[in-house]
Amino acid sequence: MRTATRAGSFGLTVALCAGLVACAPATADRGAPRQVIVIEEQQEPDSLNPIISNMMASVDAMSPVFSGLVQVDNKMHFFPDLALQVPTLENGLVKLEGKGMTVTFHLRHARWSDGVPITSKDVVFTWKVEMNPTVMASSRDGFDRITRIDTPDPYTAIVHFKSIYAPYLNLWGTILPEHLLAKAVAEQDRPGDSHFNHCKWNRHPIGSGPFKIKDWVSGDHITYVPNPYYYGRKPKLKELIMKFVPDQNSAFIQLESGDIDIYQSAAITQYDQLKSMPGIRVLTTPALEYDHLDFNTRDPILKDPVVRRAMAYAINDDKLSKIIYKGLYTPAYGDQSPLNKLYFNPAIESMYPYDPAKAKQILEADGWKPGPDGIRAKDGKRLSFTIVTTAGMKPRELTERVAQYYLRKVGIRLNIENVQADTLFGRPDGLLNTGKYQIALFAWISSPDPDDVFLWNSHQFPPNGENDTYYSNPEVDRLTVAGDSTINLAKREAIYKRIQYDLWRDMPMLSLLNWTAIDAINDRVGGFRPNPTSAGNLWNTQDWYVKE
Amino acid sequence: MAEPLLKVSGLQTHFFTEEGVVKAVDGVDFEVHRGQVLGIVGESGCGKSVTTLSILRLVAAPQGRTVGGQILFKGQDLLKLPEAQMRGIRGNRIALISQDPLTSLNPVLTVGEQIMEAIILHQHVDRRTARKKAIAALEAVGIPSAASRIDEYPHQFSGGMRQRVVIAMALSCEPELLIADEPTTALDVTIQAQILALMDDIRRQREAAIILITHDLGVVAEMCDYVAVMYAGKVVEYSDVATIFANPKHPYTRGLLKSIPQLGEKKSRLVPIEGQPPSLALLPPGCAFAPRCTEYTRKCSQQMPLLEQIDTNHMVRCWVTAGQQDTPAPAGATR
Amino acid sequence: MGAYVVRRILTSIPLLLGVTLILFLLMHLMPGGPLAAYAQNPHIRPEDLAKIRHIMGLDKPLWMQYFFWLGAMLTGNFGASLTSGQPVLAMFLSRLPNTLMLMGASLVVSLIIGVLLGVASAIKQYSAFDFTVTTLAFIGYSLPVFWFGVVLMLIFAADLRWFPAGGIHSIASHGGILDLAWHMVLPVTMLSIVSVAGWSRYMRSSMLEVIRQDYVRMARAKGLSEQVVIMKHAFRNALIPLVTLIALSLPGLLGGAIMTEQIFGWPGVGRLFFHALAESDYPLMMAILTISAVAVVVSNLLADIVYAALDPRIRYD
Ligand SMILES: Nc1ncnc2c1ncn2[C@@H]1O[C@H](COP(=O)(O)OP(=O)(O)O)[C@@H](O)[C@H]1O
Ligand SMILES: [Mg+2]
Repeated sequence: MRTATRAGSFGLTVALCAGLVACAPATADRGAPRQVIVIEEQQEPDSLNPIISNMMASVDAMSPVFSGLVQVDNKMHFFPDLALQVPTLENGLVKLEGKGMTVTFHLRHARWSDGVPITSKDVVFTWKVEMNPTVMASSRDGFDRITRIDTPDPYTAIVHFKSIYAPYLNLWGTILPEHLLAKAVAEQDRPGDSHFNHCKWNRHPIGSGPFKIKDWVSGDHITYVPNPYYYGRKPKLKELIMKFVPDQNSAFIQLESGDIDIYQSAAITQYDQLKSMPGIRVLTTPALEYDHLDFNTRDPILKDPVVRRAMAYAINDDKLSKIIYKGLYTPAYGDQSPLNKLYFNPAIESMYPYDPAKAKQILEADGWKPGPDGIRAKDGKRLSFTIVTTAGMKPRELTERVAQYYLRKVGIRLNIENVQADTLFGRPDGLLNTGKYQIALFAWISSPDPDDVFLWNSHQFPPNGENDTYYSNPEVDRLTVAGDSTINLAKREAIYKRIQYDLWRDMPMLSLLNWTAIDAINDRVGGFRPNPTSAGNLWNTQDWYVKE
Repeated sequence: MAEPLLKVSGLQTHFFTEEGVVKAVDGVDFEVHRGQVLGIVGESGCGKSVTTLSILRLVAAPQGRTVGGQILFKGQDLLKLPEAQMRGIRGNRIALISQDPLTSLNPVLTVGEQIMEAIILHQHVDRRTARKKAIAALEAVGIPSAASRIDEYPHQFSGGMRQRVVIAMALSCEPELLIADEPTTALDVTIQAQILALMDDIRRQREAAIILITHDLGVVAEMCDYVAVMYAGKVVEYSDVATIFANPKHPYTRGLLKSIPQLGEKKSRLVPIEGQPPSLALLPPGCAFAPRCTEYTRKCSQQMPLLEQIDTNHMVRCWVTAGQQDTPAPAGATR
Repeated sequence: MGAYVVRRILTSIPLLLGVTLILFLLMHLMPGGPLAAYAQNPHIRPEDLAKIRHIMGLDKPLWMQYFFWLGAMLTGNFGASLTSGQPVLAMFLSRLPNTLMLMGASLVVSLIIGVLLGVASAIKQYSAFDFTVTTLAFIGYSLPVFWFGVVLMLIFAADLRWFPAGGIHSIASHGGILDLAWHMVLPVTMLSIVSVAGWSRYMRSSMLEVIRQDYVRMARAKGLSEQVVIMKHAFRNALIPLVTLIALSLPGLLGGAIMTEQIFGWPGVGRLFFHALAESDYPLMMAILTISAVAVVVSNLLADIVYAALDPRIRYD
């Protein structure tokens, strides 16, 4: 396609443009390596306020500007950022106290990019902002378990949790400057609506990360320059530019022409071409997201675990990946990512090999006999289900078709009826939240620190929780609560491996494929290490450089 | 007689359409002399307008083309003239007054502008002079307070006034030949008379020749010196006006005249003769009038009669009546 | 004329109110309602949602909400974006110049080319030129715009490297007018191709219509040269009906072109609107829709006024 059409047929355009080409400014000169890296971002962040926004683009755009107490690296390990150490039970910075716990952070002597020192007051402030009812926080999970934060001195913060909270490290990815924001939080634009939600700072935040924002040209790019007050080693880059490129073809070409250096999350369909592009390296990184089928276990037919298991045997994950994802996605098992070395239970990998004969056999044994049209039935009930996913998402729609094909082979019919995202996920009246579905296809992202109560505890049926499969197993109920109330790693490991096993055996949810991120980078870029966690690929921009 | 101002002979203008060749004009002969008025009559669609457009070489290309004949204007064949020279004749020496005063003025230009542009073009004068001449032309056709109305737009004039504007436009360069294609059809009776009177003045004062196309035999009787009767693209009878009324030869002409109830009655439009005029794309062999003719003979539908001279200034295209004339009566006996 | 304009403005008011009412109801009928942006976020608990609902006055009766909303808009307060918290009017205005530039350039370019092609093929009706233009126009008309944009990009940005594949400025050079023009070529071409096809078709038929008129024949009968006949007598008359179309395409100047802006990374209103749609950011969406609706009504008014100025036959009564 790229070479098939040539300029001739566009004579008009050519004639029009000829003048402009002549006076086109020289594209960024590629002589001496300028310490400038341009990274593509498909979407534009809505806000750079870490409390308000939860868009991936915002996370990426905020990473260079903010630092937190602790951060997650690309291997899913926590490392100290503004804190001097990662608090754990072992190093004594985490203490159990009755039903609750305390976590102590010792801060390094760092400064905001306006030169003002960062103190434990800012930690307290961050928590208070999160909990302020007039602030439109995107999540208060975890912060609501904190009873108070003591600040015995400007560089110590002791956080008191009212109960055991295992993912206690997840809360500190960004700290906010009290001296700049206190006023905005206190003011209200209208009753109940803090000025903090709308203030200018949200577009030009002052943080404490390796970079600060020089310029944000709406819809086009953000320019970052090194933060002179950054506590760590000065970044090697003179400038970091995040360019918004909504179209993936455009990103592809801009990578080739050198207008961008890093193309994140490239399309699967571009993979082969990117691989053959000279001067470009393609990085494939296993991601934490996985596609899965949720079964509504309240459904009169789907409540039979044999039927659900038969589907696990019947669908060929490897083929699914080859057909839709060039084999880059890997088969998924259970609800933990294999990247999560600590918690993933490899024992469940072999439970459901692709085996259509076995699928037929267990259905047969369960009394499901093929009818005249090949669809199995029992007592007048037929194995014919409706599957739903977000309409318009091509790969998912393809996944449905492939699943349809494999299930048909064992005598199960799938009817596809896709809807808009709001209709599927909306709360309180989306299909998932009202249980008005049979099988739903969507993706989840697994967290480095599992917290299974919300998803699998039978007290968490919608609309209270997110157990939208209506899965109910007393043992899992017990285990999820137990896991939530211990931070002993060995115990937690045992608990979550057990939950994985139970879930995979009972099959309320069939995991299909783990995602793989494709990032393509120019050879001149050094230090780029994709991070599959919610920290995102810009987690270590201080280490980025242009190769000599 | 002196050399005619305009002599048209054997004129053929055809339209090459998807449905076939429409022979809109297919054998037209007539002469016009200085200071005289030639009337062209005939049913609607018989080719009168196409004839006038052919003279000015304004038939819409590429479908319409004049494929045969001669148009001698002061001895010079207009059909052989280069386009640039032809432009020097149009509007300057031959002017057109077209059918519908409502549509023949450009709605977005002032009437002054529309008159002046021809004056500037042909008389090579500056705008000031052209403007004076345009006002004079408007006054000449009887438009009151011409000096102020010259800057008005056509829609600000009444129908009759607009036709006067069109005439003023046509007269502005003092043409030798004026072609008026049904100049009064769209106007009401009193205004019709005024316009005709105006044209008659012009003829007398300026010695201009006029081709007057009309449906109205009363107008013909009143205004014309000669008459050409057209049927299906051909001139079927040509004569001085007295002869036509006193001694019409072609059955079609007779039919036309019969439809005038009383001589002298003004409102005497052509009343249709029974039957429909033929489609000009599918003309039968022989005389085109044959299917409607009361004096039809076999020969009529086999071969097209020629326009034959049966008397000085009297020509007829008919097997029956021209033949009758031939044998019993000696030439010239009719008068 | 003044009275005419005032009357036209007054009669537009009920129309505008109707449009706002429909938009308002639409927003409430969408799945998730005005708070869909929050409703999809699993971290926002029902009690938080209720609080937001209260803050935003969404617990009041619908008719009351409509009047509050209308009142706020009349005072230029379109509210804050649900996703960024910024005033939506400011967000809109920050994108507006870019969109005006892109759409304006494409309107001008496509009009000039389209009108010239249309006139030329009308006066050369049935010639090889006319046939070619007609064929190309039909191709241009039926080209999938998206595909065409990508092809443009592949040829002129990827293969030939003549033009950039996206953005509004080179990162290196800041804000030069030539640099801007250079970035505009491909998106403007993409936008223009369909409209050139449209304008040329329209102009051709309008011109053919006019050329048949008696006054054009009369102009020829005056001995005027073909050029004068076409340009002075035919062209201006043929333009009159075009004015309405041009005016009706003016609201597009504000609304931008979602697809083109998306493909070429153009920071315009179209992409902002797309973002608003994708993120269910209703205040932003409503602001853009409402402003567009006002623009449509204003353009209609403008069309009538310009039409009247061009055509002396129109009177204001
Ligand atoms: N542009 C044209 N294309 C095809 N046929 C035409 C065209 N103009 C005129 N004609 C045909 O030529 C014939 C004569 O037309 P015209 O001279 O206008 O008649 P009239 O005697 O009423 O003035 C009509 O039958 C008409 O159909
Ligand atoms: Mg006529």
